Amino acid sequence: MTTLTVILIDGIIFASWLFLVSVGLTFIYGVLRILNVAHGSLYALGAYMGASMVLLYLKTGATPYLTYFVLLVAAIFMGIVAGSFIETIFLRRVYKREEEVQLLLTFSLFLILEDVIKLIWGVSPYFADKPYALLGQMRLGGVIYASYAFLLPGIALASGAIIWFIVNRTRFGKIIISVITDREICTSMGVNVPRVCTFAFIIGAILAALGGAFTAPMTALVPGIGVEVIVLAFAVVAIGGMGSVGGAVLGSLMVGLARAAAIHLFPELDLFTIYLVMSLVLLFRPQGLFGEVEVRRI
Amino acid sequence: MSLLRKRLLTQSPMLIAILGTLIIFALVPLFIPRWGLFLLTVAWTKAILVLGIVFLLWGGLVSFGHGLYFAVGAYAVGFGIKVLGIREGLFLVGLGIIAGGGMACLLGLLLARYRGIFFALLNMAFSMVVYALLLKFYRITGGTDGISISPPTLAGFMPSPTSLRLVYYYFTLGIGILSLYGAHRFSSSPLGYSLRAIRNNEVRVEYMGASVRRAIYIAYVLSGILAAIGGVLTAFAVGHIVPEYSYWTQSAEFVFVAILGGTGSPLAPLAGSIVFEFVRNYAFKLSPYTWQLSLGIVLLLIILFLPGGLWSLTKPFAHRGTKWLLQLNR
Amino acid sequence: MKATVRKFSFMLIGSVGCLIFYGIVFCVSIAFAQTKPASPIPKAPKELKVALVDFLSGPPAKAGTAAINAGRLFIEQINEAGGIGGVKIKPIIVDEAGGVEKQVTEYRRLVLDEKVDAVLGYLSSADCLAIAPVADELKTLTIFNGSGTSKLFEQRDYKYAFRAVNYEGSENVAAALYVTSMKPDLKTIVGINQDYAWGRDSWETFEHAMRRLKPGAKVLETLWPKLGAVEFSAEISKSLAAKPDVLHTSLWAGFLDSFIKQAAPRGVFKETQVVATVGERSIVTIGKDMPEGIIVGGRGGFVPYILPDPKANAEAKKFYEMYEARFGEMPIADSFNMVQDILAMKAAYEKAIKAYGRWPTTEEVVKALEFLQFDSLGVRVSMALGKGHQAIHPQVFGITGSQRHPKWGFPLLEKVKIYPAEKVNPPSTVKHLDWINSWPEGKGP
Repeated sequence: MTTLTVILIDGIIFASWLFLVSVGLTFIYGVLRILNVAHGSLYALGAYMGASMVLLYLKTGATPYLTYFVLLVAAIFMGIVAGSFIETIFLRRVYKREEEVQLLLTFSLFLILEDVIKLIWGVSPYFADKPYALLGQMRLGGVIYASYAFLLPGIALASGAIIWFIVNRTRFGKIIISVITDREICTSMGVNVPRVCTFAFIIGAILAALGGAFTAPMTALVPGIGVEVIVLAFAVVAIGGMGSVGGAVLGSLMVGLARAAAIHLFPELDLFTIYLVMSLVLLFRPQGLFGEVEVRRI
Repeated sequence: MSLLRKRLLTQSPMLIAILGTLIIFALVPLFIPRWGLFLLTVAWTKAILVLGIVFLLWGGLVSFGHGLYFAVGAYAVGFGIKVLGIREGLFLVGLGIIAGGGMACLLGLLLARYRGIFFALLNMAFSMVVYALLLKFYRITGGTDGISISPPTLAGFMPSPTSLRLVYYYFTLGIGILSLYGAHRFSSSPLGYSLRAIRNNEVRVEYMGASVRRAIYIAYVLSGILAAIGGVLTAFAVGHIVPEYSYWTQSAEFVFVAILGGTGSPLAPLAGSIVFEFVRNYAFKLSPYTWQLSLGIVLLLIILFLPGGLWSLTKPFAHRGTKWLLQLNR
Repeated sequence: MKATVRKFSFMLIGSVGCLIFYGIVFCVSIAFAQTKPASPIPKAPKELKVALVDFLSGPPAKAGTAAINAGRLFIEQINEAGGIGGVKIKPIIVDEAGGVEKQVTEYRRLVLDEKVDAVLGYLSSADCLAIAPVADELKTLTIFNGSGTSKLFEQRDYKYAFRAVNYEGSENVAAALYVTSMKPDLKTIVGINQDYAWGRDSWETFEHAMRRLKPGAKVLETLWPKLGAVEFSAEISKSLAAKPDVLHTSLWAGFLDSFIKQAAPRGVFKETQVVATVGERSIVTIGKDMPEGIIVGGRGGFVPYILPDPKANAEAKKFYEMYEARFGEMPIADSFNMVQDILAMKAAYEKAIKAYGRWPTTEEVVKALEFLQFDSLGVRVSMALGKGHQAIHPQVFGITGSQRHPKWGFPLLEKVKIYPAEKVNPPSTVKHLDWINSWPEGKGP
């Protein structure tokens, strides 16, 4: 029985982490119909910026309890800066081109940003683990957990709720939905579509950076952390349905629980779990769990 | 004018181009240094593979998982030598074709039904599953350590150590020219044309009575075979086979080369492949700490300013050349 | 009918044409296949071009950059002292990233285009295994330093490829010896290793050694996180639930750092004796937050500044102080490994120069390096395995203790054991697993 509890807890923790790293990707695809390979770089930028700002902040000797707020600020800052830069200067030029070209553009940005991050922050591992250690531990299901791990589901839920609120309850959200449905009509009705797209990309970038910023206290930041994240995010988004935040939730839960179960029950399957779940879901429902089937235009 | 002459006329620009390519690349070893020869060999193996990607691009499909067939071809060589004891290069090429083609026939049944981003992602998913399998069955595949092979004989003939790389270059060149010719025939065949029509408007093609599924399936199987051949030739050239051949970044690299070269002609992947290898090499040489930056910038510039890929630079010349040829026959 | 005949005749002409072309090609290549003329007596070159190859991007970037920094610094020192046999060394830096195919192409470019005299480096086992045959093909001195695979010289013999640093075999044997000496009543073991060749090989050696040393000990779990994963909470939970006496891990660099960061607050290091076979790098990178009580080994012989009383010779101390002054941070094991490679090359060249009284050919240097014994910084290295191509040297293990480095704050090792090379390495031409299986039960080598 304890094993089941532990599997559930581990699964939910990993699922929250997966959600945080993939929700930005699915949001951007949902609005802009672009699969953003540079998502991994935005994640890494958020992580490094979050770590740097936390370290700077701690040097000033202020209360360490505000480091969480610092991480949030760092993520928002990075999202706005990087997001607007990428969208206005690069992405805007390829909106009218084919999907694969847009994808390759984001891939080239990913390559460039990898080295930019290396140039700015160097290759030595970065640690900003005060926020992680600060919350202490708790014992659940017979096993000690770092309490920080339970912050992740909280942040995941919060960001999910905020997105839901923005999309469903604000005027901006309604405009986003109409832009998704039909760009031309929106333009003809006076909506500043390019600006809406920029805002949407910035929101997605902030989400990606948020995932990075709140992972930073748990891990050592080294070059190349974005590469692994891209695969995971792609998989979760593909499972849940491209563009669907609810799908990302369900996808993360499925993968998280499957992986936790694999580790506790069949450790040899650990390597496969995410690809297996992805292949299985896509085989029976290629558009993902909550994805919409693309309507063929004649 | 006889049918033969007519056919020769309309197809001659491409045939002449292929013949010209053969002559140029057959003579090139006399002028370039030995390491450049190796670079060209690798560029040709990539070009053959990217031809397959270009087929799919003609049909409006991008695959981010062709590393799968690349790896299948390479591992077919590995197992062919280590397990089956085959020492003849031509048999190994055949084995690679069977393995890659068989895999593509199987997976194509499923994958040919999807389009757009789902096609790309499903391909990627399968290639990552194969990557995981190759990693996992460590005892058989050697895992990340890979399989080392020594170059096999060619048509029963083992080249001497000093001329080994040269002979392998010509072998790759020969297969490359055959693939170019095959691609040319495919592109000028009704199936090839219907593929391009499918990219334009799939529904209309169906209404016209042509089978969309058949066209895409055949294109997919052919691309799988070409990718497997590329894998076999790479295994010969590099001598080491690793699971990373099936990783998504490898597949992304292939698509990179395809877009770099352009999709206008079967010769475009060759141009893209050669330029890519040289650019990457000089990026490593001149900026070892920031080669990703250099590569990314090059790709960015090509995407933004040369939408048709490098091959679009030849458009004005191609046009003039065809006009001149047609005038010759007035 | 006519059309079919025409089609067939076309195909016939085409195939015959291909065969003729093929035949011409073969004749041409046979004509090119002359035997190499006997090399003339070489003169001392203007400079000795040496390529240093290691990871400058991706997760191993810290290890590779540390190696290359140390290489460049050490080469400067050698050049200031006059170089090797009066010839100055010119380093050429290459990133090991890009995969096996890219590295093989790069290696050929280095040898055929840049015309380097030697290639040193390579952290990835796959790259080593791919490059070694090419080294023989292109007849270029190649010395590996970072990779761990035991397959390199146990499966094949090479003429021009060497490894001047030890490998996972000796590390995991030493780990087993050390942990059984520190915790003689251990009963249960868990392994957390990455699911790729390095992790599998490391675990295999350790498990074999433990089975011989402590036949009653039981392996409770083996966990295999994906290579590239940085999130280990589930593995840690599983390990905490199993409550083993010993936890073996071959996690390295950033991955080990993340693991330690996640495991420490959860009490893993208090509940279990963790053995991190290549944990030395993490001591330096994590610094003052590195937990106490972890059994740590170092790749390569000595990293003297983590020993409480660096009796290591003055050269090693001088070197790491110089490194610290130049780069503003401590070197790590990879730095010392690269230096060891350079020293191996230097020793081989000097031995050959002395033997022949003139600048040697590559073959003469290779011959000199086989079975050579030389001094690296603070440790005596002997190229004893792999028919003279694989180095053995003493292996250090210790526990992170309460004493701290005065400047950087990281914990120094205590209860240090230095295992002599012969104790942790098989005799020549014996595979390390066979050697382990030959130990008398319950006893070590």
